[in-house]
Amino acid sequence: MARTDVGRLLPALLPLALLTLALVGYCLVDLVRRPRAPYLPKWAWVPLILVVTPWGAVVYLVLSRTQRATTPAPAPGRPAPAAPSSAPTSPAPAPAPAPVAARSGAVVVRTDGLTRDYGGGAGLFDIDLRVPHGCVYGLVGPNGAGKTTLLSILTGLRRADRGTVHIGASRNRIAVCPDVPGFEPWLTAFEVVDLARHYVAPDLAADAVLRTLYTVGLDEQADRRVGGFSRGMTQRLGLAAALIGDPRVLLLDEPTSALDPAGRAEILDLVAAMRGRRTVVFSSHILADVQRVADQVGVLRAGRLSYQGATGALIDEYLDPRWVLRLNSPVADVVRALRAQPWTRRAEALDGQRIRVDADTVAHGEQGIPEVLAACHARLISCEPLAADLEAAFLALTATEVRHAGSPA
Amino acid sequence: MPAAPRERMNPWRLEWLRMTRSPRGFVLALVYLFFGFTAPLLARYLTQLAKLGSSGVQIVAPPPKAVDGIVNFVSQSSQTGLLVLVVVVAGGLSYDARRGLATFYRTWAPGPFALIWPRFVAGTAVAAVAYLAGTAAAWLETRLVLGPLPAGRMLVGAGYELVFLAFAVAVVAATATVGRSTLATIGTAVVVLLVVLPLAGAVHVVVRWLPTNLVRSPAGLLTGATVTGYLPAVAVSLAATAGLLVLATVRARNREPAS
Repeated sequence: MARTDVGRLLPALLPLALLTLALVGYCLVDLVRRPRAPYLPKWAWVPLILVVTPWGAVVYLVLSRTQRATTPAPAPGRPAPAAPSSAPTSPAPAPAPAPVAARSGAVVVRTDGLTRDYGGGAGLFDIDLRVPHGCVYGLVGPNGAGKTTLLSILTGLRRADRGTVHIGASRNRIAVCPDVPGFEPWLTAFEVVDLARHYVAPDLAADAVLRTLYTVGLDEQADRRVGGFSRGMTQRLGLAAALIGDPRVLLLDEPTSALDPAGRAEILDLVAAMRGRRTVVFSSHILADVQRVADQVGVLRAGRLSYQGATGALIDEYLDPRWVLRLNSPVADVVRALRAQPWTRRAEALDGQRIRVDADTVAHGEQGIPEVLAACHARLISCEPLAADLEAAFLALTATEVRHAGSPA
Repeated sequence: MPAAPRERMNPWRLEWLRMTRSPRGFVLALVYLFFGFTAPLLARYLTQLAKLGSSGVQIVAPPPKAVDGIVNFVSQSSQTGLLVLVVVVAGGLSYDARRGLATFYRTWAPGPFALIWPRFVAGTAVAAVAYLAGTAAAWLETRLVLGPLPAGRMLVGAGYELVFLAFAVAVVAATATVGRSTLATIGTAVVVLLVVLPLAGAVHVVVRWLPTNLVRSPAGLLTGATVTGYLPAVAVSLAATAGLLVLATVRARNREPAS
């Protein structure tokens, strides 16, 4: 190579060499600073970066950036969100009658003859949904019953083959949270909710975003990238993104499916607290959750709405309600008094402290048992419903349908 | 609650973060820079390198000219750069591929154009920055090892190439409304940009109208082609870009996200 060529080549190679050196240097510094290297031990990356230049450095950079977006970053010194005092280990009684707003009867979400036929019997058929204003409406049904399809049509993500949908709220006051929320993994929790704010409520201040994150128990994680979130945290974040615009109608698809018992209790309490302020439609296959918070329930089965109405009425309609009373006083007088009631089907002492009572309806039992106990001056320790839950009602309802379908015409 | 001030989010900041917090923008710039720095060197020393690799074979080649540096850069970077660009922008434009993500974007945004437009602009901007950085590197290297180049024609050629890159991003935007996954979007866009359009270029009558004609314009303008000779391709590219964005918007509005 001639001397002049070398003289030209050196300055020509300089930028390339500087670029490569900067790349290798950056990678080595990054390797030293990070606690763990991607896919390989840290020592194995050093020869790769140095020898296979520049491709080793490029591969390291791409892999480490991808990993940074998906690995949970611990937040030192920050406590986990406080667990609630009780977990929903057993279904609570059906909620009390809805507040005034829910009882007013104004229907906020209404569908008429809604049909989406996927073929082969799958889809939704002639759904006439009526969701009163301010209520928490639980949509239950087995897998493939059409819950997600119905919610997708309500949100406008899917189209119906026929039928109409009417939602009594403007577009930006309807919020949705899917069963598996998805976000850009390189955004922080704050940025996700703030992006939702930009679209649905651009005038809100940054504090509103933090308050919403606080509401769902993610305020301590506000600056963490969501790629490292667990599924439960992602579900909470989805709820926060849905709540930021203070929606009038909130559509939640399986909002507790990925949460642990404590997380479920928190979210269910949150949903229950919305009653009267906004209308919530939420689907779930966890019937205890629906019973815990929903004052109205719709039962979907094979794409058809089998039942729609008050949760308590469903339980009342399909069950022989039973209770076990535990007393701190003699039980014989109470058993006699219970047997004398016209609504009592059966009353018997299980032992010296416990009585089993079968009533003709839930309402009669709920009203009558306290009256009898008061009249007998009995000292009550506990009164537990037996099998008076939505799951039993759901099974009874679907069993009835199967019997009807199987009976000869 | 943490009191540190945070930058407020909007669709443009979202795209900025997409390019800076993931390796997308970096990789694209790296590809063009790599070819920008190496292609002129290769043009200058190709004969010597060939001699090193052959034993006893005499290689006779004309001495390299300054224009060969840019010709080499264009030929080496055009396909690889385009491929990486498709992959980079497809990730953002195929937001419908993930139902969880699509549910939020579709219910937040006032319409599909509000989602497509920032992604298109950001993709085009990143492509432009990466391409211009690569071209600047190629120009610098060429000047150092081969000699000076006409700056005016270089700039016009780069401008034409940018029009093609915008068209390529619009193709990805449209194909994202056809495929159900990011991979399908990439595959369809690659077939259109690297197979269908180059094959159509074999038809002599239409070649000067095809957007792909602009890919070689930076080299062509240095080797005798006229500036006006590429104007039909520029016009078609701009019209097609607008048409593809309209098509993407209409298709995104009419289709349902992946289940």
